[in-house]
Amino acid sequence: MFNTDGVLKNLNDVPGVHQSLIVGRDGFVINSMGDMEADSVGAVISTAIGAIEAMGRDCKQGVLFEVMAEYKGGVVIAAPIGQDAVLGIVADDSANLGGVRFVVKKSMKELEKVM
Amino acid sequence: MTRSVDTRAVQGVLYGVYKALYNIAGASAPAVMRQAAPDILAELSKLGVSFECVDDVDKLSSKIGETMEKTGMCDKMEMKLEGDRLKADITNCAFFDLTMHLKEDGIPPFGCPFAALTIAIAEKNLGKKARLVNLEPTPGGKPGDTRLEVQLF
Repeated sequence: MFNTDGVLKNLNDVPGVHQSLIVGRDGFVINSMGDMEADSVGAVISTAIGAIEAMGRDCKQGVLFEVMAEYKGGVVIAAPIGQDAVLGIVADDSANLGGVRFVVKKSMKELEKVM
Repeated sequence: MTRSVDTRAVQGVLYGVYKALYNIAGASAPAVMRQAAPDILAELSKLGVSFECVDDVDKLSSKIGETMEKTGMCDKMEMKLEGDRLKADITNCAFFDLTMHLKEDGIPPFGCPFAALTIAIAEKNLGKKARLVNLEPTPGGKPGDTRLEVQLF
């Protein structure tokens, strides 16, 4: 199992970000940081990414880079890490979305190297 | 009341459901089964099949094997632990034809109930995280014989 603590810690250090996790496509939580029901959140994020990818495929939009869902309380960002895993981040409405997405992009590069 | 159902009809229903799930969730379809497995366990417990006594691999092998055999899902299921790998040999799996039919359509065996239940019970009763790492026809076995491998963390 790869050590991804540093990447998740950097993500959770971004103001407004409360939880981050890395989950396999099969819903298996590889690592998580922050107070959450990681198994449940991981399964939902993995399934959601699959569905969003299918939407892009059927709409002929090509490869998915990132998904951001905005809610009353904040945002959930998910991004595929290669073919086998997904990064998920939960942030509240105080988070600077540009800043969060910047750190996500940086983290993706690091994760793609180690996974 | 118990009632017999033609497994071909059940496989037809499952084929449609699994194919649709795979079309919707793609490579993430196994995550759906991960969510479904605890509910399948709960439903089985309503039928008097309880896995509460399972607290080691031998009991897991015995209990899940007995359940699968009694319900006609296979003729035999045997498990062994090798390091962190839980390996199961399934004889004459009732879902083999369905699995092969899905495979012909490019759909992996994400809906395998043996794998889903093994993972769910290992996580719930053995206190381990578990992940399916291999599922294939048993090398040299008869059609219907399947080997699955779950990694425990």
